[in-house]
Amino acid sequence: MRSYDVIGFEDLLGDVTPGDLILLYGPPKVGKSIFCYQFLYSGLKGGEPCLYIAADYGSRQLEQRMMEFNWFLQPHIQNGEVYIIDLLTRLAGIKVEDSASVKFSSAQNLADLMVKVGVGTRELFRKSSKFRSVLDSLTMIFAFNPPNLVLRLMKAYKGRVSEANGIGLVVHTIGTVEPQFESSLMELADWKIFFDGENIQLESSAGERSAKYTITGEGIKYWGLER
Amino acid sequence: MIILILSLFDIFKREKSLEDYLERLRELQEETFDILINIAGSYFDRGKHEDAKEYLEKAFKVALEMDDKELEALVLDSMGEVYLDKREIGTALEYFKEAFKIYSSIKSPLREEMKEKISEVEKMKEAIELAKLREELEETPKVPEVRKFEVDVNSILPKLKTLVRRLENVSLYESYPSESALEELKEALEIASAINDELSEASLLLFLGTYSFEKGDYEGAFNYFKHAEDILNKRRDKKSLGTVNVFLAVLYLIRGDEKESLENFKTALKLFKDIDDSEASKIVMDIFNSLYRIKG
Repeated sequence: MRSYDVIGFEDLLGDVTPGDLILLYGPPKVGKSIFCYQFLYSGLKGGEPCLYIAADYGSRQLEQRMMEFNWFLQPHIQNGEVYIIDLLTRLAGIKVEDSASVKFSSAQNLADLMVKVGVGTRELFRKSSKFRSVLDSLTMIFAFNPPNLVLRLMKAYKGRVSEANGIGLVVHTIGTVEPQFESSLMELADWKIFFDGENIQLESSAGERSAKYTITGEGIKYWGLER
Repeated sequence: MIILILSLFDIFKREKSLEDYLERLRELQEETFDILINIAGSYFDRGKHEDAKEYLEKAFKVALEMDDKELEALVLDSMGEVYLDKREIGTALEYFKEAFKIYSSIKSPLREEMKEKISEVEKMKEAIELAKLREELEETPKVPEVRKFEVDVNSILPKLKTLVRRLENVSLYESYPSESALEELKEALEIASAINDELSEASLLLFLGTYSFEKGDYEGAFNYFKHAEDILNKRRDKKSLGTVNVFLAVLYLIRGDEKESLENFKTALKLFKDIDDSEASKIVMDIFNSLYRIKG
């Protein structure tokens, strides 16, 4: 049964609960990263801090891209409500120093990444009883590491986020890794969200639902929910 | 061709099972791990930290591949040692804590050892920070011309209040938050002064000073604290006096008198050191760093 009402972002995620890991997947250029910004910003507005692992773009670009939708991140960074792990800037050869809220690492250094995730989740757990975590995306991490290691990293990541009562969102672009590893990623997730440019499908053990979506200047608008 | 057939035959003749191959693979992974750790150790011994880290990262991947938590923790512990050697104590601690977390999750006996190490390194970190602060304070004559100060009272107020809350005699008055209760306290101050009850007088002055400070009445706060300082000096109450000195240090800075501010910080630090109150010293240091924007 399809309803043509516009759906609020938080209503769309409705029954996702702390401790869950969401895998957001789909082809390139369908709005997956914008979904991540929306997930981050919507959480901040609701008082949930966020650990954001920017693997495909730097922390500066994250701020700039979010500004396009009038989502201003800087005040939240200054207040320590966002903890960013930037995996790209150093790789691009830019010399940068860690700050309290922005840490630099790289996709090759998994030990460093895991330690920073551990520190980040602890910091945010101290601030709030629930928080969000985003990893956008796995493409670079898969490019630099054997896929089975990335899967183990994902297991550890899920454990860290879950034990700190967070909701984790991991982005994967389909076709960037062998199908058997994609299947293992799917198995790891509590929620799978598929984006194809027009439709969003949400799937969990509790059931499935889908909706239409459009990217606007104010973020992604969802409508036409079907259960 | 004959050689190829013979070698294939040789493979079949050996009749190794899947388990044998998996076992051999495991042995090779363990060997690789040992080699990588040893290479990292050799670089470490030569002071080549970046190379040591590179090989430890490789070892970490092997540990992940082997799905061996104990080895993962071992790498993180070693990585912590590299950072410790580089005097990047904060980062070293992050690695040790992560290793501790893994050792705890698998109930490894190494957990206790790691806990002790973390505690030692935390003490070391504290000592280094204190030494840094003292060094900064020693260099005060050069400081005023080059530094720009900004007194962000809101950022330090919780820490100042923590210092006050640690004083039993003063925290007693915290249950008097209203304006009318304040009048009662002022009256109590007059009585304490009249009957020469110095302990109550000093405690009330400290409380009223804190209250005025919080309300932004810095002149009033300054007068209360200066008066309290005189009494506490006589009573040799180092804990309360140290707290008063910290407030005076901040108030002098608000007045633009950096020299007096630094003198008061120094005095507070010395008083807390005398009574072996490292927690108070740490709070003073945090306040000092916030005001003078010294990198952690």
